[in-house]
Amino acid sequence: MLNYEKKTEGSVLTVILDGKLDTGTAPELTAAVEPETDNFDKIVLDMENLKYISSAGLRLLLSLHKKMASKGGFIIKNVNETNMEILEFTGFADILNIE
Amino acid sequence: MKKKGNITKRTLVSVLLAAAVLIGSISVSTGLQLRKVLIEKYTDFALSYVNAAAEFIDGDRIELYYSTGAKDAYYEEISKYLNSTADSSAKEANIKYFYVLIPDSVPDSDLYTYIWDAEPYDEPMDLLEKYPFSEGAKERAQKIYNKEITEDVQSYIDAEDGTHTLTVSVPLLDSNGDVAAIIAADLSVSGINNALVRIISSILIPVAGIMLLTMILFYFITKRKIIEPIVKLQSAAEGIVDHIESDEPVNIDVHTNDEIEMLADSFTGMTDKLREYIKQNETITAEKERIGAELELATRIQADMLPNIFPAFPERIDFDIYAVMTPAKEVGGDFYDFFLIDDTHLALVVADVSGKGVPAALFMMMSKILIQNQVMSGKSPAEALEAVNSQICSNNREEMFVTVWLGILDLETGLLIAANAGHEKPIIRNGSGDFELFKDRHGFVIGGMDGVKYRNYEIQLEKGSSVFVFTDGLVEATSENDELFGAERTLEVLNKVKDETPETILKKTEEAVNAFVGAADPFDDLTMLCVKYTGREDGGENEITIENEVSEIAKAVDFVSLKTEDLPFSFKDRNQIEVAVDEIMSNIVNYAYGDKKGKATLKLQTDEEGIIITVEDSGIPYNPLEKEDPDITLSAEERGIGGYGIFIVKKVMDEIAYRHAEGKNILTMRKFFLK
Repeated sequence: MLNYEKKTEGSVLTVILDGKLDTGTAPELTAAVEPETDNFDKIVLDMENLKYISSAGLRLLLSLHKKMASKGGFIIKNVNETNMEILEFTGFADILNIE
Repeated sequence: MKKKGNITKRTLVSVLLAAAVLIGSISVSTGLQLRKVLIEKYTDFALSYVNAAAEFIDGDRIELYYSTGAKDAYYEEISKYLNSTADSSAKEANIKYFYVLIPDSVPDSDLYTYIWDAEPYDEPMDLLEKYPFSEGAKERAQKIYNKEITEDVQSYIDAEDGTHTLTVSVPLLDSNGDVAAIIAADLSVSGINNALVRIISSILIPVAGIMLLTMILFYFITKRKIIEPIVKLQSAAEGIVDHIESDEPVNIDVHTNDEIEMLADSFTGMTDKLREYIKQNETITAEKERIGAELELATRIQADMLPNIFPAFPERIDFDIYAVMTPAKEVGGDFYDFFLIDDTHLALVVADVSGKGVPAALFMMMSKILIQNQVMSGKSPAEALEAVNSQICSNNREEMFVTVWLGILDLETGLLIAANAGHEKPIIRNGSGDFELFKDRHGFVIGGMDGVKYRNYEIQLEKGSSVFVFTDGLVEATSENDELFGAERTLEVLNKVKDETPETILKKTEEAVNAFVGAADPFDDLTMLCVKYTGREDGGENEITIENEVSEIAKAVDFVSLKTEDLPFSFKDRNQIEVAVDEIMSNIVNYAYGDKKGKATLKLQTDEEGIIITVEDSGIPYNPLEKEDPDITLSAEERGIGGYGIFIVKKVMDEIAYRHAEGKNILTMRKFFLK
């Protein structure tokens, strides 16, 4: 189960996540966020209330990162311990911009 | 070391030596004989002269000359006669001195007195001149005077000039027949020696010549008929050694028409045989190697026949099992087996086939499969053994047999039903007690006689019980002092490690047996099986089955989330377990069945250390653990999107194992509780 809320602040889109980013929920979030990459210079994912992220979620993060790299960028913030560990051992922590 | 041939040299030296010895001995014997004959001739000759002179000279006148020293006409006549005789004889008999003498009558005197003296080569002595006797001559002269001897022949070598002289003396008698004087002649024998040299050389030169010729001839014959053929044989022998593997015919060119040619022919024959044997030997060696390789393969196949991946049932926490089989030869006749008949029944088999080696191994394979088939068909141990026995007896011309202990353990109730076909008694530890020999009822061996009945017996195992079954290789392991390991020692070892896992129990037992046997040869295969029954915790419904739909995954995740809620896990642990379940289920839903419908079952078990999650599906066989880990050092641009799922599972779970059994992919994951 994943709930999300989009907040726009000029050319920056912040998406606040609540729940699990897994096989079941990743397609929905992908559909909601990916089209916005053309509309914003910067996309921020707030993961404070994200319980965990699975490999399906990682795929979305990688895709967003690649698309936003030429612009203001893609940022994730408020990463919890579970997710930080997953990002670290998969090497994503070295690639993504984490605040 | 290279040896030089020197038969020729040896032959030559021997022949030369023989010739030298022969010629030497001929010379010496001929010379001695000739010399003796010649000296006898000369002596006769000299004797004839002195005897003639003794006849001729008037003995009655001697007294007068001796007493007066006056010479008269007769004296001069005799002088002439003696001189002419000596002269004329000089060429034939070599008379040096021809003289008439009278020994001094004075006893102390060693002198004699000359009456006449004729010397062809020297100044003669005059009448009444005196001269000393040579040694011994005086005594002999005395004997002639006393008429003890009528003639005296002496030969002596002059110490000064080395000349050899022969002296003959005879008495000169007067008219009364008394001895008036002694008449003697001295002959030079040097002439004899010269004659001897001439005679011997005239014999020896031709003999030596003939010998030399014979020798040379002998040498050439030896060389041509013996040495050269031998050299040919020798170089042929070397050639054969160098080209032993070629097919070139060996032809030794020896035609001496004698034993050597026979030897050469035998040699040629021997070479052909030798090559034949070498080829045979090569074939045999290749065959041996092939058999060796096949035996090794057979050993591996046999080992693979037995369940040998441990832990054998990682998803089961209600029992733990371990088994070992160590063959004494390359392939053994012992075997163990265990398998789940259904979810709650575990079959246990330990068996020992009569005999050893390949036949025993083949019989073992057959027995194992027959037993498993019968047990899987739902028969009790006794029924299964009876069925296997009649199957084996129906076609057992080799009269092999197998002893079997077969047990079926009900994993829910702990009831062990077993039957024994002539096998070793099991050792059982019920509950927390000691391991004890269980005196069960033995049936007859399998394959021994058709129609044999077996009887089931039951043992109710408490939780925590262990069953240890083995073959006689254990209790009959023999030390260097011919002692048997025996049941007592086995129990002792087992009870020392009774609380350990089955794996540790078997390893410690094997160590003890090996230490006991020491350097002695392992006599028999060693097979042991140990199962520890822990039973199930009462956990209610611990299983969920989902369809292969993405929307179904959450059901499994939520199920696990609910079940782990009250377990001692951290918030992070629980999240990680959920991620792992999501990843595994996602894999099955997306890939296991392709486009077809399918199911996935998740079971959750708990023990004192943590949880065990088992996920099964009947899809395409696929071991996710074989998938390569993604390269986590790649940049964002280089990264693909796949491969992270299983990688995450491996990282967040403490243990993960995969097996494919009964058409199912079975993935087992463990997560330990917080310490």
